[in-house]
Amino acid sequence: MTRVQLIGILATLCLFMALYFVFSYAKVEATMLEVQKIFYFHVSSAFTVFIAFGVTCLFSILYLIKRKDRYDMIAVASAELGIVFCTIVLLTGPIWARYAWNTWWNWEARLTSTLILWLMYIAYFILRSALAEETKRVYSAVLGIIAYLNVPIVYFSVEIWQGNLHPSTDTKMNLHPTMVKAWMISWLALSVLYVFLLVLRYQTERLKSQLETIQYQQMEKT
Amino acid sequence: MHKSLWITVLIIFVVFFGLFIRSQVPVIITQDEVFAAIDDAIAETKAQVDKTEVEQVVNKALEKLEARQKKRLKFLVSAYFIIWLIFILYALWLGQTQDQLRKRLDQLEAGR
Repeated sequence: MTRVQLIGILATLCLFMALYFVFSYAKVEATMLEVQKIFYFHVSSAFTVFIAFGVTCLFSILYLIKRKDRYDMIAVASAELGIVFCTIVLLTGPIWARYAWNTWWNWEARLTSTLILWLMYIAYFILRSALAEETKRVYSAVLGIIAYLNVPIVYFSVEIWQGNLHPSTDTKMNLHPTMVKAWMISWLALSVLYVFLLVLRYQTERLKSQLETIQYQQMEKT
Repeated sequence: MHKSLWITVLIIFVVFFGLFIRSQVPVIITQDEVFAAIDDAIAETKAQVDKTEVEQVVNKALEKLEARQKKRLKFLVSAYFIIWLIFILYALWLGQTQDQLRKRLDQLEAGR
């Protein structure tokens, strides 16, 4: 059994455990009742987004310093996963909002800054597809670092702009212990899933790179 | 491997989610049960109330509670459906891309 398969099995087990804790163990919240269970995967996805974009930022810095292709590959893979998790956040958020606030969307600080974060990383991929091979890595690495500056803004947006829809950053600590456990396990499950998908996505980037090298060599021959 | 893994994840999700939804849907209370419970309650409390009116109010309240819960479960199902759909679609796309790349690489290696 390969290491990737092991991570995959671990991710499956963690998801299994998370679903058990969310649906069978955690107390049903008194105000939102069953709808509150969206919270566990919505918030955990948001935290995984921060990790994913953090990895992109870190490997973009490393690429700019050492200019090794594999750092760029990890940065790209992680940015794409960040977008996937951020899409989940942006799609499950409105479902919660419709029930809790009776509106699908509100231009509140947390929502707006999250949308901007998502758009910035979409721009990261547009930039990569628009530039030539050599320059795209450097420019996208710079954008990967700059875009990460939005992450603390998203996290502290409620405190900075005094938004009244999302709870402040310390509210989660007032949750019932069973809810905290379910949330932590959901976050762990999504983090392991992120690592698994990151490895798969990195492998894809390597395959692409190998293919490009062979094609380039064949072109030179002819 | 990826396909079987994702099918496993999907099955786990469907089983857990299905069990949860099933456990949340209230037991359907029949009219007879409502009447019997009201009779018992009136007999126990010896309250002087209009039985028909009480029955109407209780039935209406039950209807409202069931409708509200149905609405809540709809929101919950939609959210988790989206989450799982995104994960599964992304993983399948990733697997498919890898397969295509490997095939292309093999072709090029063979042609060398």
